[in-house]
Amino acid sequence: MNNVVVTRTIALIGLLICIVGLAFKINDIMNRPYKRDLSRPRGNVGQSLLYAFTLGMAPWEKESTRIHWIAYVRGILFHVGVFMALAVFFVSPWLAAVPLLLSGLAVLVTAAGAVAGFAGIWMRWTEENLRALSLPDDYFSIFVTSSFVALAFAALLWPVTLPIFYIVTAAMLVYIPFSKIRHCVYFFYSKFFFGQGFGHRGVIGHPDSDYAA
Amino acid sequence: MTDEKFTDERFELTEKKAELALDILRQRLNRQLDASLEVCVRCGVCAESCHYYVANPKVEHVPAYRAEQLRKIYRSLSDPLGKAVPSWVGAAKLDQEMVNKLMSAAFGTCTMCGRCVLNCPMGILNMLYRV
Repeated sequence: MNNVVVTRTIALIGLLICIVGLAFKINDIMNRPYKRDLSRPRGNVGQSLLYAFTLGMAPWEKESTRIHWIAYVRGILFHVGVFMALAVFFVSPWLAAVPLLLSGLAVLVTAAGAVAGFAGIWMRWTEENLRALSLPDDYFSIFVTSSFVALAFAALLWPVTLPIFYIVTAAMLVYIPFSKIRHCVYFFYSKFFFGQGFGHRGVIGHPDSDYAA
Repeated sequence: MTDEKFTDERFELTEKKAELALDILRQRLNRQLDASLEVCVRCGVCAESCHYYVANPKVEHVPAYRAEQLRKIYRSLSDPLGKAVPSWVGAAKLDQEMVNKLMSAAFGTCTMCGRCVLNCPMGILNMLYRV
């Protein structure tokens, strides 16, 4: 059995562990009681939910994205790079069949994502507030994820790097349920409760209201 | 707000009070609070949304830093890595210093205005910590 098949199998086992671990976390939160807001509804919750998941993150709506626009752009590039690297992982057995335009796009996106990821480590260490906030888990999570994206870039250009890509993918996937990377699941819960709570209170998503953001 | 205000014996943490505090945390740990405690990625963009931070830019006035004091206790109770390797994820036991920080965060440097919630990329309901 060659290295690529063995390491791909290890990566798939890592994916299974990741899915099981995240399923446990989802089970934990779903077993918590849901606290109803008993106040009289003052806004449109549906509209607010839509806002929370879409425009609510746009620079013209959210002051923090304007103030921290470098971190915002870096975050977007990083996350798009992560999703592209995941796509590379799933398509990796058939990389040779991927059209040149698509693989070229994937190369660019993963390159940008990897640079953005590693830059994030530097930003976290050099900026005073971020350094005070940061934990070892933060640094390691960004490092392992950025390495994953960087190796996806490498695998696209040099398929000989596929085994190391799969090993790092496995390491990242196993680490996800235990680390801050699990925010990939909790993001949807927190955004939902934000949209629902603030929409119920008429703070956002209200067509006639102005709000300070 | 100065530390002298916390020297009164009412604020002294005893074993019984610590157990009571942790029981209250466990009872109040609903879905919304759990999501808010888990999802923070410590990006720090909430800083300038807080009036306290804008007036006095100390790291203790960053909303994420304030909330992190409660998260440290939460992780020591609920996070597998928090129990196995506390320093890796910043888990900590409830002690007098932690109580002082929590009281300062909840009653001294937060008006529950909610601006941090609106500016958080994750929509973390920071005011829940004060409740």
